[in-house]
Amino acid sequence: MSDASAGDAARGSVVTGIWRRVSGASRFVLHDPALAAATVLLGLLVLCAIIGPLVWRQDPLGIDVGGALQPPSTAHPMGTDGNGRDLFARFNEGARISLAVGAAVVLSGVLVGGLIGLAAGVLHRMVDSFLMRVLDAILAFPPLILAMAVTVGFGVGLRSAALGTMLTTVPYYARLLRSDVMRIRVLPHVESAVALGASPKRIVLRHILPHAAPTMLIQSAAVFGYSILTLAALGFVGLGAQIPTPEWGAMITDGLQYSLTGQWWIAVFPGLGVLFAVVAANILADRARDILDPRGELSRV
Amino acid sequence: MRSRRSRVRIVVGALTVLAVAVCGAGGTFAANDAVVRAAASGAEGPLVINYTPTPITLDPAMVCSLEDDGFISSLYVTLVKYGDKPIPGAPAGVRATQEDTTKFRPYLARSWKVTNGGKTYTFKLRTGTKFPSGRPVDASAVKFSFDRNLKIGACGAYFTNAGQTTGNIFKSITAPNPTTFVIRLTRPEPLIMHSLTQAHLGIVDPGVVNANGGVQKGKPNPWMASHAAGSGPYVLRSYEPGRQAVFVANPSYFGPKPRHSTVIVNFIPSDPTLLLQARTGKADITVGLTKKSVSSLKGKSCCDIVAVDTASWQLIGLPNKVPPFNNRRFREALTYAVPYQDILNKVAFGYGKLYYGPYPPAFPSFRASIARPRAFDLDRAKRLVAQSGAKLPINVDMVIREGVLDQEQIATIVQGEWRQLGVNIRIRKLSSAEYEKAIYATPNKTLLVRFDGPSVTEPAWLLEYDLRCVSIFNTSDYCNARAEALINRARTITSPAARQKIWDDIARMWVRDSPRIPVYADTKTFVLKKGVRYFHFAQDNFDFNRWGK
Repeated sequence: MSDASAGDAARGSVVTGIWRRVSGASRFVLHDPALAAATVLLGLLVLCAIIGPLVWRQDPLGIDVGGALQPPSTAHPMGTDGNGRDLFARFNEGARISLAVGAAVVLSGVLVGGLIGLAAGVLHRMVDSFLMRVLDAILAFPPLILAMAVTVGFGVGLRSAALGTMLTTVPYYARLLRSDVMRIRVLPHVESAVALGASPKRIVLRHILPHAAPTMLIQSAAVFGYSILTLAALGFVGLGAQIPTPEWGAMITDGLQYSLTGQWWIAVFPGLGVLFAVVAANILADRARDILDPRGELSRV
Repeated sequence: MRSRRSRVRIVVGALTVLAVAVCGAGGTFAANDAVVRAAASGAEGPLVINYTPTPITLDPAMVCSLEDDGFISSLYVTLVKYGDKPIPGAPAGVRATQEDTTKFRPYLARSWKVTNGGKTYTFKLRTGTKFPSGRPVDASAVKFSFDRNLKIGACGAYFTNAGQTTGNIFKSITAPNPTTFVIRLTRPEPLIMHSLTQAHLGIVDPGVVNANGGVQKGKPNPWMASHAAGSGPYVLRSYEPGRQAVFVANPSYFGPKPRHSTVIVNFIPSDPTLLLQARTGKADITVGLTKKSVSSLKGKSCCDIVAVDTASWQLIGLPNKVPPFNNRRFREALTYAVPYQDILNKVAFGYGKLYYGPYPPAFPSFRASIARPRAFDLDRAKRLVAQSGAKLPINVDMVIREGVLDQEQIATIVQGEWRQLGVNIRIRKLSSAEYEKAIYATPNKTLLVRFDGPSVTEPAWLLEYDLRCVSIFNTSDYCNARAEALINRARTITSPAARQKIWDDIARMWVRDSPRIPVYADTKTFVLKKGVRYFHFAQDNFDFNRWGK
């Protein structure tokens, strides 16, 4: 066989391998209706966030008072609000904001919370005690109240709301990773690595983190949904995104005043956005736990 | 581990306890409600009024807002009242009247005369009138009330001084005998009769006030903030700030018996709740429903809507002392970048009138030829911005009061339109206290959306606080020395025609200067349950005694 045909064969087998994995995953997803629904919902929301504003070109901030309070139609699939702004455009922009903040909260939780948890689990007991007491102090506050306090303290707005939400999730990541690290570090293979003279860096990167990753992944799926809900709650009470930013929570608040006068679409569509995002994220978190937890129903171990 | 049967028993027991608690509470509420309703004599039952917003104080010396004034006016009597006239377009079957600010009628004062070139007013008071405490409502009580207002020095003093923001117009306030009350002014002041109709000059019981904190110079009386010491058609049976007030007929009141011997006022800040209760007939009269909600009730079988043109308006205040808003051309540009008609249709739902001038159409002195509404013309606005030489972009804050949806909508619309001119607005929603602080800051550095209007539909009253350079109530810091000189001249003139010429000259100057943007003049709306047949509107007074079925 020539080099060219060997290369082609290699590429073909990679593509075939990928195709096999994708179709295997698709069959797995389709086999589970709830998982399929969650995947579709989240996929649609991601599409709305990424492609929506490119396809639907109406300005989410564009005022047209004369066209205010129009019901859903082909010109405005989700209707218009009290200022004549197109709600579909605002929904898409709101999806961007919610999903972006959700991702940012997850990322910050993994990095900051993960680092704290790792330090607490690996370093000296004094460090562990100190870090855990600090986290206990944060955990003493109800998460939403803490998020509100941080938002008010830093000045109301989307950034402060995101920061407040991030702060409330860090302790949970830290505690989870700490307990995982405590469990994993005494496993025989880790002790063997220590006995063989492996460096702490190698032990952490090669043995501890890979085993703790599933826990962090499951937590991330749940936190993603929680962060969208918290952001919406802060927006609902006026602490999150400010006028005229189209954040779902703020849009629900705006729509509430029309709840009894017939303009139901103003609050319902952003409400559905929050609902679908949170439900989808929670279902994905549940399934991730079932798959990745060795004691889970769907574990392949 | 407990057996399943015992778990069921526990749950059933808990549910039973809960049911008893709820029924008991409901019984308690029903009992309270029955007590209140039993206080109503006759078959007509109490009049239930749903009201928003919640009053800040009940003290006549301290009330400042139109809503607070209105709330307390049934608790106090004044020397005089305005006359009445019908409300045009009132619903069929409803006898709806409003005050006629060109006429005064006797109230506590049964007659009066004006002498000494308009500087001395002598009032003859009714005899035999008593406070609920049994003390007489006599000239010394009237003097006490006037002196109290002036000594405390708050909004009550402003009204007692006939809307003057500087100086004291009184030379003396005397009570030579129990039925004669005399005020001597430093100069003629036609506005004094108007101020005497206001709830701020309600007569308080000196004995009650002195027994509860007295009068201290420059300090409010905390007791009076949540109690009443008047002799009006009603007394305050109970008052729960932010929740409910119950008025019962004052047996000592000298005037006609109120239509309802009990009035229950519920303070409900939530618009959906107000709307729901109006629709389901839980409230006889609803005050403060948003225009959007009122509009949804048009034509419904539950309710009648009374709409009254008022001397109040929604305005956008411009900070006249802050660049580039100190540039007349720039301010003018902004006035062409507001979609007035759309706002009137979609924010006010048609309950308002468009104009552009210092006085709204409800003023007798209003001249449509001078105060023609401004057009919405973005191209013209852009040209004017360019002519003004203002450096763009401009970033500025706009303050609105939290929870006031009309203001939020107007602010959002203007934010969207002015963005196209290069003016970037950051909207700040402030609590009531912060909002009041922000709008009265000197100098004002922000835009503001404000619902405002004078208690008296007289240019002299309005301009005294709205146009004087030193007035803290001049929230746009508009300063025009020529206009101020004209106001001073108007003080010395009693001829209506001559005064009207001055008001017209000031209006022209104001329109040219564009110091602020009146978005629309307000048409106030009241929702009446079917069966409510009597209603009376006053700019500053809610005469509950004249409302009813």
